[in-house]
Amino acid sequence: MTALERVERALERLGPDPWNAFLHVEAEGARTRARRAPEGPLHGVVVSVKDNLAVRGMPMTCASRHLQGYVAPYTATVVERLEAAGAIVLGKTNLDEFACGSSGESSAFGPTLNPRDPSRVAGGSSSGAGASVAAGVVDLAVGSDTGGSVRAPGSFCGVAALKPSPGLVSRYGLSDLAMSLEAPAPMARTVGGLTRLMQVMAGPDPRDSLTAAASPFVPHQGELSLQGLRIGVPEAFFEGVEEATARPVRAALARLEAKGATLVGVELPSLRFALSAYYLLNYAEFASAMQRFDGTRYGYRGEGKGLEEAQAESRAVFGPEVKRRILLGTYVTSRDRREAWYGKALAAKQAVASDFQRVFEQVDVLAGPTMPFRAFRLGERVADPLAMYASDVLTVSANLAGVPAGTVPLRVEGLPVGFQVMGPRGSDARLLALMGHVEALSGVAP
Amino acid sequence: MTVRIGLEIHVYLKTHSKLFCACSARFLEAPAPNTQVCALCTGQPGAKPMGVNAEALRLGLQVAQALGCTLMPGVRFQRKHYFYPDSPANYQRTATPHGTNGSLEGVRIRELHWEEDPGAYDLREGTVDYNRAGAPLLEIVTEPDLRDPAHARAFLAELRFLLDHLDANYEAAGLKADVNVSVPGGERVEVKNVNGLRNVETAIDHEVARQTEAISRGEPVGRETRHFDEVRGVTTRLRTKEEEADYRYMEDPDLPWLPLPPALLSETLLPEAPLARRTRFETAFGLARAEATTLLRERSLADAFEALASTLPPAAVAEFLQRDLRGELHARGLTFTASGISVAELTALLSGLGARSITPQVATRLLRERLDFGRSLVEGVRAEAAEKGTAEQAVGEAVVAALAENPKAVEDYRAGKATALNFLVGAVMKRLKGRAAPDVVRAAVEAGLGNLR
Amino acid sequence: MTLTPEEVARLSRLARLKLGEAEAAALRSDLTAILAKFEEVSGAAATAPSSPESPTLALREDVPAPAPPEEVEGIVAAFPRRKDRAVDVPRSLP
Repeated sequence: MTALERVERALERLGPDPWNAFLHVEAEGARTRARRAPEGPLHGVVVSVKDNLAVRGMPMTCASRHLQGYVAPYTATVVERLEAAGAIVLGKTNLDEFACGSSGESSAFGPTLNPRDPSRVAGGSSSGAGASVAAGVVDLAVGSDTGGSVRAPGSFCGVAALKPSPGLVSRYGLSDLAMSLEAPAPMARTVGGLTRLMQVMAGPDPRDSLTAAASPFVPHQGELSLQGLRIGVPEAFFEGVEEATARPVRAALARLEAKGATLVGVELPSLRFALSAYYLLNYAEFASAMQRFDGTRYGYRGEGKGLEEAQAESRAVFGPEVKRRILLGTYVTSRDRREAWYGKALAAKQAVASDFQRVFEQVDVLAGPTMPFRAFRLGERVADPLAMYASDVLTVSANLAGVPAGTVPLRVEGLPVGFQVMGPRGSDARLLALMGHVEALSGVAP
Repeated sequence: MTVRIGLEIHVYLKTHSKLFCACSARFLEAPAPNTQVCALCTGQPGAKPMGVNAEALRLGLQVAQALGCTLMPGVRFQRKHYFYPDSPANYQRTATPHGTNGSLEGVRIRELHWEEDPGAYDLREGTVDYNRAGAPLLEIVTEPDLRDPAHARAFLAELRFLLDHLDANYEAAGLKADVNVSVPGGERVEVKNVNGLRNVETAIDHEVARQTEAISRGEPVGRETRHFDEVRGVTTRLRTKEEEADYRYMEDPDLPWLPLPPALLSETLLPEAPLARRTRFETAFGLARAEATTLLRERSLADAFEALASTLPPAAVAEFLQRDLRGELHARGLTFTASGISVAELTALLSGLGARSITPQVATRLLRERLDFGRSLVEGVRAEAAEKGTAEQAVGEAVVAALAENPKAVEDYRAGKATALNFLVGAVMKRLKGRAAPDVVRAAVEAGLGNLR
Repeated sequence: MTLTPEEVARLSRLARLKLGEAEAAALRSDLTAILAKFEEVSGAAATAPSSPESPTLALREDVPAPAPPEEVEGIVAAFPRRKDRAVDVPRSLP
């Protein structure tokens, strides 16, 4: 298939976008690029990019009314690398506004529907990215993961996703939610697709100071032996998890065991505070990140009577979850509160990281379900922020601990279920190799 | 109780690029507003800071050394949050101090730290230009140890000296300061954003006088923030805010810990700090403070001085460099470094002067030819000395011949007739066809007559 | 612990967010509930810093490299209002 044919097929599959997966489709641009896509490992491959990543000349709304009409003047490093490798960006995908959400329902431009069941959420915040892969529009998508934002849609939509180790993938061009916890992250139909994306995207970038120390990503060479692989399974990972999710995950674990892996019961006491620590840090960093949006240099400018009024009006168009997080972040970092809230959250983060480090001396990987439940119905949780936050209980710890985590869609009847694995920091390649095994043994048939 | 004055000085560091991005830091050379900008320094969504500017780091460490500070093992950049149009992201990246507990001219230096400049907000026009946003600043915070305006002047002069020696300041941009003044009976008043040393001195003068007068009239002086009006040279009240700002300082998650290890310090710090070196110039070479200060203002000139003073009389070298050389350089707007004049060249020039093989006037001419046409001083001195030698030889020969040809005049001279000398000088001049200075010839004839005895 | 309306007002001023009355009330209740839930984090034990791999900030040689013209012009084009190339901002009230 030529590049142009691939683009046409993607556009055809997309059609009128009944899932609301895309906020912007660059049809003509994609066709033009297809005609002169550079040779490279992703030559002619059509990809989607989450709309919180900058692509010069394309809109970048972060799914917010505040940035409606904003056109990015520069391109995110990961997208630059993808395009240099020959990939063609079909368009920008929908997300929770400024990536604040776990279902996709917080987009100012309507939620993304789950291609497997349009009455249900696609998972967030990379909802459009997940849907674009699940709907077969693209095979590869770039999202971002702060506390589960590619793994949730991966699990809910039935696609593979990886949250990389910190510092491995440049964040230059990714609009900030929680800078110390997040990175651009690949989503794909298969685990092999994740590896293809990582090979191109990962690697040090002088434009992101946090990538300087990371070792380069090299795909795992040869077979990963399951013989004697120690898989830690904390019981906490199954607490409060619905049966329809727990069963196929335990079955997948059993198949790994049958192939020679050892399942080890482990304890991670710090997990008790992981969700709280995650959200408090998220709020604190988000409030800081959102300071820049005041309508001065870009974005919606208010018509207030004076400077302060205009700025406040400009920021009034944020959605409720964004406002909640900004106010909470302001609260936990304010002078009198900082020690008790932000300080404690940092300490809890430290505790989680230490706990994971200790556990990875006993086992090679941790495994369990990606999400506590399968895709819920639209509207079911969105009115109750705490209920929404609870979706993240199994995913946030990897971001806090600074370790890689991936989700593999399991072969199940009905709604998709994701199987999550986590490994020590920097073990992304090996983790992908293990995910490949899970995919072969228990995954969705290609 | 005394007058207490403290300063928070912001020095624009002399770098090519900004603190966290590679845009040019020479913002006064920008062709138009918002031309030397990028995604980072205009706060575009998703932009991230790059590694910290190594030159800004070097200069900041050298200033800390020059002020005798204790150096910290490392620094962490923080975010200082506030909403203002000149701030690209409505927070400023500002580091924890890298130097503490220094002193200068009897004033304790509390701390030094790096921070980025915001953009330029033109309040009258209501416009913002981000060309300078992200430019590297060094903030120097003093304790309120300045006693009076004169003390402040002396302190600032010393600071200027250090910055010149280190070539640390983007001269065209200069520096700016917040000035804190309290007089006995009154509270502390802050005058914000005073531009340039001269204005700082004026602001201090004005504020001390204003507060003292108010107190003497029985008017209270409470804590407040004021603005300095450059045009009128006075301070005016700024709107006082009811709430004290909460900047919600947090460690910048994009910028990890910046270590300042011994290896970095040993390759960055000067082998000799400026004040110590100046003291050594005074004691080892017997220079006055003012002379030493002048020589040390430009490090390469000071290095040249030391090299020359090891073989030539220091006083003479000092005087020549300070007065003659600097005079010519200054007239041409050149630094010593930019002139490219080498120690070898200066050695030739100064040796020639010392040996009198060239005159001061010739030396000046050679210096000008060097600066204006690039003619090597070594060559120039050699040529002049040769010519002078040739000339001297010619004069000597002419004198010998003239004395031999005019025995009667010689007799007359010996007999005490003064006019005979003039006659003989005339005879030599005639032989030389006038191509010699009369006083040189006269001296040569006298010497020749003396030798005949 | 409940957030008072004054605290919500103060936070919204600090964060430059303009809130309607109903909105402020709803936020007050949400924020109170969320903070109550997450207050548990104070029970987390402090541990010694664990990461031996903590990155350190790299130094960048002082070589200027202007952004490409498309980037600079794209930035200027995004200004909501301008006077020539400068951003035009609403005046502060006296």
